[in-house]
Amino acid sequence: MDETNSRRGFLKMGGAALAAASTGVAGTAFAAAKGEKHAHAAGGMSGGKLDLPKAKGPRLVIVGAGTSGMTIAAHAKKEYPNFDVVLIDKRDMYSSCFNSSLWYVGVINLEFLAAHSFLDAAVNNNYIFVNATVTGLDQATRTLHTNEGEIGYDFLVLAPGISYDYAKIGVKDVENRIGVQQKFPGGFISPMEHVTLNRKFKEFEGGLFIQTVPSGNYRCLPGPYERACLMAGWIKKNKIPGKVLILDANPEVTIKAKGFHAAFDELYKGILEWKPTSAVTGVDAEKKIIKTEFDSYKFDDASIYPNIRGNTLIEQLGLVDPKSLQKEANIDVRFYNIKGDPHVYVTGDSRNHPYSKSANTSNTEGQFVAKVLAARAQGKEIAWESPETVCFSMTNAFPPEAIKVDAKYTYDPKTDAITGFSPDTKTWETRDQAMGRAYLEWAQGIYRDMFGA
Amino acid sequence: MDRRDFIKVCGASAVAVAAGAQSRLVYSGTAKDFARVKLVDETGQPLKAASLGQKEAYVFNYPYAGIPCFLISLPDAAPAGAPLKTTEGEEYSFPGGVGAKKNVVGYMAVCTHQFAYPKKSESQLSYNPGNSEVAGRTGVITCCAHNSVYDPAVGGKVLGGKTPQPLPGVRLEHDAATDEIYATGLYGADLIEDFFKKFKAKLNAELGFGKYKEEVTGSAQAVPLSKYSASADSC
Repeated sequence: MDETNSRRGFLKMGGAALAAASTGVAGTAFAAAKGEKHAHAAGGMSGGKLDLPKAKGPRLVIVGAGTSGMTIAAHAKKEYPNFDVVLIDKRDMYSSCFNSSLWYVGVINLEFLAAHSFLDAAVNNNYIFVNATVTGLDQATRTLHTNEGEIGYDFLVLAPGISYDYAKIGVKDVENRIGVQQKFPGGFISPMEHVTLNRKFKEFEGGLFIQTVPSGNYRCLPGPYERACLMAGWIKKNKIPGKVLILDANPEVTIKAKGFHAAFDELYKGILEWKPTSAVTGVDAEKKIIKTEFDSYKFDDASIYPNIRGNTLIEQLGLVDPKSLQKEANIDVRFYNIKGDPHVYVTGDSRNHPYSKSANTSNTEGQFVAKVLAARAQGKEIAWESPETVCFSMTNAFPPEAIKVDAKYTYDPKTDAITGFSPDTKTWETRDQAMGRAYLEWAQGIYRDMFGA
Repeated sequence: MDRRDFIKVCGASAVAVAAGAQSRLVYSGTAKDFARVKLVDETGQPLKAASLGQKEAYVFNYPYAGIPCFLISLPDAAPAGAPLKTTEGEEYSFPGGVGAKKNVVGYMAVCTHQFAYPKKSESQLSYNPGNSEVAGRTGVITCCAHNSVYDPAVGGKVLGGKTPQPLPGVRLEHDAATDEIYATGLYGADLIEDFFKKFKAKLNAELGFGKYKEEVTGSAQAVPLSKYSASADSC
């Protein structure tokens, strides 16, 4: 495929993917990569330079102010004070994806999720925050292009998160897809989805609410089950004549199964029904119908969580692992650099690992990546460390009770692959209020780590 | 190791302390003297080392009004000498327990991982003399937010979790004649400035504006954690 064809190929898919991108790309100012090192801007406002002070040390540019990018930005200078760190995000206001379902039932308020400033984070951690959108990358000259100008880097970290893949749930018609996205959001990417879901909880007066669970390594494994439990609890508490149906693409609850089943059976019998092996094969947003292989379901309201993939930015920059089923990045499995390029890294939920795509994974991974970058800036290497996934799920909101998992991961040097959870993985699946309290402190600790406030 | 020896170990770093206004909340190095403060109970009576309960930690504020600390009576002596290190690479040595049984220790009650601390509403940080499910052993300080584990018998050494450094220690002094306990300073990682930066708004709201950074002098009330926090959780 020559570059022209390659670009045309990208533009063909770009329309669908761009709308779902978390940290996306402005306009069509892209050429897809022909080789590993030559993705570049093909236009757009990338002629001038970003108006920033001259770098005072090796410049580390980080794209994406989510858990991964912000953790690396917060720890980079602690690990190597000479770093000159610039964090770039197209958003100018943070709102947390993790813990967001707790808002819908009043366990927390919006301030808990959103009262965190990128400005404070930059000041507290001694870096520069830039509000801009990435438009291209030139690996050969180590230049990142944005809509506000270009910036050179010594090290670049791309942490753009995920995008949705509606085609995998049979939603291919553009008009219908936009209807599904806007009316029944998955709620695992952007704050506007959370605001919509919060409204849905408050407006639901009865009937059937469907929560779908996709296949694959989707973001926040327990998240859709947790949300279904919270909706069932909301219905129960408010005596709403409604029911919750979980349509699960998987044959079993994907994590903390014992704890979730206990909640389904003990707290929500007659209100919540869980249907395994029920992958969504189509949605009619207008008629409010979800299809699976053998059935179709008419619903009153829903949160339709499609399959996910590496953020479209990764594909647009030509950095996808050709073996990845979710179009995730082609990176070294231990040290996160793009294979063959020690200057560009991809972290967080666009990584091509079987890691749980969760906040604590990205937070602990980010702390490690900051050490990798600090070492490499000084010409050194360090040993691989597993991230850790401490993850709570609120299975009851009245009163708040949670369950928990604590997992690390195993690396197999023979295959150079992460093989799954380590043998010392523990779960706590008898819900209790102590874990409900710990859940909130868990989130606040991660916010403090990211924002320094 | 007695107090004099400990100061000798840390002397070099202690000298670097307290130059300029900013440094009132900061101690460079691994140790700093603060006011000598007698630890008393809720009625103002001096706590006696031999009479301390061993089921949980006591909470007191030191060296500033906004800093929570643990006072713990361990079942056995906590010998001095364990080598410890901060994330800054500064090495120091555990001064050991005080009291007739050398089993009374003090720590700043702030998780060095992501700064959870005992609040009036709840505490994720606690000392549990019984078995900890997270640690798989007895007699540890745990933070249930991210499963950090510390050893109070070995200078707050990290036993588990992603926490990067030991709990900062409170240097205690024991009066053998009266069995009374005094806090005289801190050693280990310097978290005070960072703690205040993260919680200034909350501390202002709870204690009054600027009160959190007032030095504690004279005496400090040490209250069992179960009385200090409405829910003291262990894990």
